[in-house]
Amino acid sequence: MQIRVIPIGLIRRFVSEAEITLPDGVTPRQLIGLLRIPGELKMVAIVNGKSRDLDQSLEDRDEVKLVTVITGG
Amino acid sequence: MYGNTGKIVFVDLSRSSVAVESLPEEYYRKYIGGSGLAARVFWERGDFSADPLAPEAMLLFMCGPFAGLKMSGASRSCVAGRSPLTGHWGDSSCGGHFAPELRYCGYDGIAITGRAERPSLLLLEGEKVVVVDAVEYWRQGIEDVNKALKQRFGRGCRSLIIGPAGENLVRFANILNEGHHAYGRAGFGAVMGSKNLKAIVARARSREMLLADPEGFADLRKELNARIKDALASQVIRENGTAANLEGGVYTGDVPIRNFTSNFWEEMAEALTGSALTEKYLTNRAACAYCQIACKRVVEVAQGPFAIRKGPGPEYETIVSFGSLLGSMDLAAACKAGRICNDLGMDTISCGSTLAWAMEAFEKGDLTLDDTDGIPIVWGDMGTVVDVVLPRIAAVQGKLGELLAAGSVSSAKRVGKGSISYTTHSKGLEAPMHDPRGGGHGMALTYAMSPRGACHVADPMLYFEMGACYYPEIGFEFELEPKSYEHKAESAAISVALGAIENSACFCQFADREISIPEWVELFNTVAGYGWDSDEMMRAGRRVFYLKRLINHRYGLTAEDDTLTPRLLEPARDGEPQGITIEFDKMKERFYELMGMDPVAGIPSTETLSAHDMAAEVAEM
Amino acid sequence: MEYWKDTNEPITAFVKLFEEAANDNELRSGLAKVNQLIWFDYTEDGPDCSFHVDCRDGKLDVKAGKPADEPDLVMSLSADDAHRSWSNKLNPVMAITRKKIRVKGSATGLLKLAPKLKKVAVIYNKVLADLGWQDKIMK
Repeated sequence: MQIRVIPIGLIRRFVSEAEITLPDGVTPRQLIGLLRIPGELKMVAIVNGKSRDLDQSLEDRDEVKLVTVITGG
Repeated sequence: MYGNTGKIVFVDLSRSSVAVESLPEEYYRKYIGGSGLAARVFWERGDFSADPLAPEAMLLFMCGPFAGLKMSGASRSCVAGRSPLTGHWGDSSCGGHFAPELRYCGYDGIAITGRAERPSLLLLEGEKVVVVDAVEYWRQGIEDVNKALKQRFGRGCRSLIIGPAGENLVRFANILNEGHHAYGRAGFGAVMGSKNLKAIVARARSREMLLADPEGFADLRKELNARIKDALASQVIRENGTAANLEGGVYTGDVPIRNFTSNFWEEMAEALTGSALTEKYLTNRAACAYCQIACKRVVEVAQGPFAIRKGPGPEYETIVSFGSLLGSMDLAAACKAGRICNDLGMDTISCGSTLAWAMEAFEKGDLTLDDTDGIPIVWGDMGTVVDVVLPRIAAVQGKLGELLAAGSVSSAKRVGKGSISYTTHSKGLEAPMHDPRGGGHGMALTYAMSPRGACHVADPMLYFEMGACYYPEIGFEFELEPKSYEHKAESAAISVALGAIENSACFCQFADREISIPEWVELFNTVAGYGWDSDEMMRAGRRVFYLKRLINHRYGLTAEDDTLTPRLLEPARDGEPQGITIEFDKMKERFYELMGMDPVAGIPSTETLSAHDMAAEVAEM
Repeated sequence: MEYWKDTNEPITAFVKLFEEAANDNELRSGLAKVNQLIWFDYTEDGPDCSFHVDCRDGKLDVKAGKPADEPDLVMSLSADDAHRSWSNKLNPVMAITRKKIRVKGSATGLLKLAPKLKKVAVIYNKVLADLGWQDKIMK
């Protein structure tokens, strides 16, 4: 399936915006691993504008914004 | 004594007298240092009947046991006393370079009462402390005074300076070190102003420190400095400042927009995020003394209506409080607003929040042009804010200046018309730029429980919600869901104790994320010889929290004050947290239970006080 | 995997480590206090890569694979990080903070033994030597 990955905020230092091809049924959690985003970051996936459980499978043509919750003081 | 020097300077400005005293060593083991020790001194010696801006009011500056050590994050200190903004206990911490200098001069703190006859400054040269005439600096901006003091007393001197806002008793006036690092909150710049105290200048003669276990500390310091320097969070913040992930915060609903009426603004996210500052305006990164994180920004805006020369740049709070909070996504405007607040000496959080309230009031018609001297106060109009409103607030000029200079709560009370319902404070202190509805419901609880008022650095709940912490030794093993109340009371009970330790040790929360519980204990023992285990350390943290609560109790606060304004508790209207209710009362009730606090009075029970060895302190009451 | 040829090697080493550790009174009684069924899960490196320790009710049973009963505590990490951990080169609390180790259940009891990792590393290095794997010993 074709997925559009959009990094948000500091995730941009690990990933560039891209269209990628993935096997069917890949979850946001698996995608985060594949993209080598450091596991220590607590992540949120915004799929087609709505936040999605990290373990819920993505579908063809989904747009996935990858956000981490780290913030400054 | 080790680490600490055991010496406090007591200054009476009315008599121009200076006396050095030693506090009992027990005070340090029980109250740690910094704001804890300040609370202990205030409890014993503060005049509780004194108005915050009266000569009798006591103003305290206090270091922690680690000031002077060559460690990332160790160079903070605090200011404390009765806040002129809130009317009860306040404390505020500051990084920069003053804390080590004060320690090298031989002191743990300075306690100031009285009022000088003429504008004065306090000068510490090594152990010698004198009051010096400062008339020539009165009415001047902080930037110029900082330069003048360095010319007069040497480049190595370190200064705390107030601006015209403090002189004019703006209730949220702040105090700046090196013109860049701020004791931001709770209005202690006004307390200095009320005492005719323009500045405190310190210049040490030597840099020696006596440690309990120098070798043990040396190993720990090496390990921690390396870990702090290399941590991912440190790298991120070094690269793009504390707003490095502001964009992410917009998507989680953490970033407040238009006086907390909105939790999502896509366009603003990219415009204000840290990388934008780096790309457009950053000239240098800077750091506090001995810190290898280097979160500070130096910026220049070359052209346009918000052009500013190279100098101190904004951190996360300022970017938001003079950005999206006011309905603006103009980063240059936030830079200039921050620069003006730095020079005039005003807290950017309270100032921004007061302006946000005013903008909403103006939109609703609760504030009219008649109230504002004919000046329209409109969402996003940063030109008017920067050129017209900020100077008027600092000068307490006209109806508008007079109104807003007392902060949003006082302004709303004066204006009436129900406008208090859209202030965003707890206990009179405006909330910082993290909306608990998105950033984490646990923060709603800790904002409400924080002794000084709504605050996200009184304790590390923000970091707990971010999943950045794991402290199994003290029972924090939870994986928290931000938009839920589950485990939040339990987390807060741990967080407020740990936060009290951080603020009494005067350690920076960006750096101390890397310190484990056993390492904290080792730091206190190798440096200051406190002889603690982790239980003792946590007890000391809770003890500090309890004492501040007792101080507030003497000012008439009860559990009723442990709340937030309706704006912060109503479900978000949009964004990630849309429609979700914060189960505030459930968290609050459980927190009191866990902390052994009376749910009506809001103070620790007799048993709790006894269990924390506070019987003597209570007897003094 | 940096330290292991295949997924059998780490399990062989770790099971033997616990069998040897059972001979140390301090470690044995320490584990008795932990009183949990613990699954050390390295399945990110391979489906058979794991072992479990049952130290409930004074037992100390060590076996390869996933336990039949529901474990009280699961520590999920890579076999390489496990090697570093038993070698006392990876602080477990820090590793959990950094999510190098993912925890299900309460690790507080087990982590109380973290200061003993110095002693554990000595035993572990001897186990590696006995298996003919001196080259794996971390200095």
